[in-house]
Amino acid sequence: MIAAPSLKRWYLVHKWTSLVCTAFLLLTCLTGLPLVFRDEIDQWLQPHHYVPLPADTPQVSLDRLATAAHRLYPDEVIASMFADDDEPQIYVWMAPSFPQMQAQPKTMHFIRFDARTGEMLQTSKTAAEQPKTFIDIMLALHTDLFVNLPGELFLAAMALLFVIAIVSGVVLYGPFMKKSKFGTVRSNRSSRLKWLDIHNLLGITVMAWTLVVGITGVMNELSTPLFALWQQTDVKSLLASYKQATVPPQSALPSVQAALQTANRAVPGMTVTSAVYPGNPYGSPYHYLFWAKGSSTLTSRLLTPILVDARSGQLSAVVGMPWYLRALEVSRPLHFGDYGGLPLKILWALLDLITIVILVSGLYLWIARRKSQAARLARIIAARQGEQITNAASP
Amino acid sequence: MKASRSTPGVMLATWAAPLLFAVITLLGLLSALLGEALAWKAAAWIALSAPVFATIWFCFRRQREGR
Repeated sequence: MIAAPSLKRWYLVHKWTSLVCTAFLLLTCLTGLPLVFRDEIDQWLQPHHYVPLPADTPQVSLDRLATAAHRLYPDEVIASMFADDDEPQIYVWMAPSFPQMQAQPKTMHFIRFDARTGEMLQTSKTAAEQPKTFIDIMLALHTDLFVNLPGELFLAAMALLFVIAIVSGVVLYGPFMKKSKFGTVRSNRSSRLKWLDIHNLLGITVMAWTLVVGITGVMNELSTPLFALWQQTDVKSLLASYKQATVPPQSALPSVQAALQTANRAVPGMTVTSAVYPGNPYGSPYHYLFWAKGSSTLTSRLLTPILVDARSGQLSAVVGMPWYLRALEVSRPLHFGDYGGLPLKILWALLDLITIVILVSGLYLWIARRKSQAARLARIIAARQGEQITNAASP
Repeated sequence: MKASRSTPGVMLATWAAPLLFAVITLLGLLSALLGEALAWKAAAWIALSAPVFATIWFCFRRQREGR
């Protein structure tokens, strides 16, 4: 049993944290709904077709793709290559130059190749010229409100308030429910009581899910500063010994395919999914950076960076990831709900809808309570005024 | 929380169901993340259905009774 003053404090915490974050949380829940089905929507809006080939057809040499990309855009640099694991396709990302890419990331564009035949499937416009898709807009509203890092940090703060609102709501649940059985909804009395009961019932029943998605939401919004922290610490000291090393221009780099094979040998049992070219601001100035992943549901989310020297083509290091980036990687599936097939996504959407009901009912309860408090205050004032008039009238 | 006036019985009555749903939810979330076989994924679907359908059932059951 919580003492009355402490209960009042928890009530105020619940009220204010909820009030501040509710509007943004509603936006997040509504935009999160289509994002749960992002892959399905993308596939539906822009279906990709491939020539049927045996499943064990080997992947095309990355050198061939690099040559094809340079032939198409002779004045540009390859920034990275990304092999999709769901579809037989490889994206080659290009930019006018690395300094320009850093100053204006929207100058990037990609060429999409068939991963088995090497056939070019698509060339994109630059990100600046590309019209925003429905999913792009939902994602921006969900993650950064179109303003990148400041938006991410702001929404991280809102998600943190949401987590505090859940915890304080759970603390309040006990005292509120002392006299009622679990699942009681008093629908035969006032509408406010009915919605209070629904708010409490829904909130407490799905609390574990809302807490997990709230906490992992905070984690995801912090990914930019967390990666920056890693670059400023571990990566910086790792690359310190290479300072002053001169790296050949892109046309004279050692084979990217050979570097890929070196990376593959360094991490047996894992699959390399992307190659980041030397000089890319998101890689190393002196290395090819490869990202490899495991094969299980969990380990496929845990990425391992491998550095291959850009002068010799020799393996430099398999880099261990710090705990905070591992935590970030684990928090992704737990936020997205994309790790248990379509049924899990549908359940994620239903839980999201329940969260919307909790948010809206909470807002309604605040308004209804204010109204009933205002009415009570008006009655007290009226009664006082009545008393004063009676007092004044009596001799 | 101080356990002054509330007996363990009251605490249990209040918290048994919420804690059960929380544990089921967390087991479901982990089952799909750590298990590879379809059975683990299916266990997650069943586990996460529990809080979803419980809320729907309680909301609509009581509304009918109230009328």
